[in-house]
Amino acid sequence: MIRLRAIRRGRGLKARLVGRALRIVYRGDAPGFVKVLMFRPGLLGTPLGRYGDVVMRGPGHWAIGERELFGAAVSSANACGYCVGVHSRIAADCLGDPVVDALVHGTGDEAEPALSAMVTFVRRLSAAPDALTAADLEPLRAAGISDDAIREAAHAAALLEIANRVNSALGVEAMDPAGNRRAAAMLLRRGYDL
Amino acid sequence: MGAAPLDDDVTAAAALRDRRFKDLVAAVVHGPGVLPSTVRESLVVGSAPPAALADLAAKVAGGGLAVTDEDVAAVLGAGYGEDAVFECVVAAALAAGAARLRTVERLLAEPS
Repeated sequence: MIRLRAIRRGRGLKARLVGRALRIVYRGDAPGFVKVLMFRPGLLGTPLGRYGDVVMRGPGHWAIGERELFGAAVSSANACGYCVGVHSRIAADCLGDPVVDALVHGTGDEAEPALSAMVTFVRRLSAAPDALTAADLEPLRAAGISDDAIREAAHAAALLEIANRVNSALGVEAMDPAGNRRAAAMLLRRGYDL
Repeated sequence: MGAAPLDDDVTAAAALRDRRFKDLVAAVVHGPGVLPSTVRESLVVGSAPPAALADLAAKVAGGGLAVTDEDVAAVLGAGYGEDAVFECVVAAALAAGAARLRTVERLLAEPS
């Protein structure tokens, strides 16, 4: 359960009306992170959504599904059940389940080398950023990944580093598969700038 | 990797992304809030926050999973409200993302 009562209840008429609408859309309670984003949107929801939209949906070197895969891998490293569920679902919808199984869940080996190298890097960046050296970039460059593409992947990772911590610290719980599917479909259709 | 988009579009998107990240930092540090901007800035840059927020901020920096109801209750018990808890969590979470972006820029700047 979300630890802050003010977020659970929603603040302001707009938040409460949108919350009611989302309960209908999601056939139950609105996703926990959506409630967090709607709480004081000027501080977090709006600027994070605008940043996330260009990171995950803007023109770039990586496809949408690949960026979502980086986010899912970081979320897995941080054990954020909510974000793993949603972003794995989006990545799987875009890239197929075998790639997500291999690079997020570690239960397969079907992955393209550049994608695999980038996922390995963002996982290490998540777990031990201070331990990284320039040598950690060599596998990326050997796989043909440009510096700008590395930056793009790092921003996808950073977005989820932020979201994972907010969710875990505030007590946002993972959704069931149906909830993940609905949230994934919403994010694919509408993007992050809500 | 995905189908190649136009270089100009990618360059423009990267510039927009960097601006929006700065906008996010500005909103968290300088937007309306109950914690003074100096406190929120200390949380974002990772310098010493007020003692009553330090444990919560450290647990958020470590990933957030270790945060408990008791941690939140301790901050509330120190005289802060729920808005302050929220701001502390958001600022410390943002710090973790920003630190990793700085790490990548440091690595990219090193001779290969």
